[in-house]
Amino acid sequence: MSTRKEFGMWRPVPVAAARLASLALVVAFAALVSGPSAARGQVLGACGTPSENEAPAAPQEMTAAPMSNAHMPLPGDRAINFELPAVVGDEIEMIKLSDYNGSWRVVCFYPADFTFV
Amino acid sequence: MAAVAAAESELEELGVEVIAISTDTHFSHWMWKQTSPTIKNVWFPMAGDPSGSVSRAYGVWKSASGLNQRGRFIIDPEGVVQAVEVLAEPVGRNVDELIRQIRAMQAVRAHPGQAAPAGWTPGEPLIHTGKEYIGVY
Repeated sequence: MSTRKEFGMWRPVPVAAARLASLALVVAFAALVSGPSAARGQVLGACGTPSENEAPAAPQEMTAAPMSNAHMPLPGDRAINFELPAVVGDEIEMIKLSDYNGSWRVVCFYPADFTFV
Repeated sequence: MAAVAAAESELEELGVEVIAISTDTHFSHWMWKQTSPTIKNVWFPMAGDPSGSVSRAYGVWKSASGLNQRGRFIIDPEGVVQAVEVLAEPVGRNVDELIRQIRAMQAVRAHPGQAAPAGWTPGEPLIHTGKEYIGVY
């Protein structure tokens, strides 16, 4: 059978064309979720050191204990480099702190979008 | 963040790059930027750290909520932290103070051996440091 006619009000659609359209949707979805949209943020090395673009050798292990903070960097410590997906103007891009090496930088952490302060 | 957005020209004049980070995804940042009358003016990257790994690396992640503290780090061109400020959640930051601090940092960098005294504002002289000045101030 080359067409579907269960619903009289619909135009018959060739099955092959419907399958091709489904495949096109799957490919488009795969493209959408690859690239910056799917990229994982990651912690890299300390800014200004040879390892600033490498992930630390020992990744954080999954354990039953709650994840905890590293020591908060204080004045004089090297900032830790990172790579995260970001909204930049009208684009979504992966950015790194080290993209701005040579400039003064302010990194502002905040609790949540759509809040008040 | 709206205040930092509004201070774009002054921060640009100082050569300052800003990155905002929360544990929301960048999808949420996108929609907040589309829908908020203040956040649509944000000119700097808004990064998403849903795993919290970067936030934990900076010591600002709260495990009970998975949300960040309101922490702000000033980092110099070589990647060395110059200032850290963390405020209670209901209290907003002050961009004028941010600018004052950065101007002070840039001034003392340009004049090694000098310091910006308490309450220094741009245009005021720096003070000298060193053995001869012990007990002077």
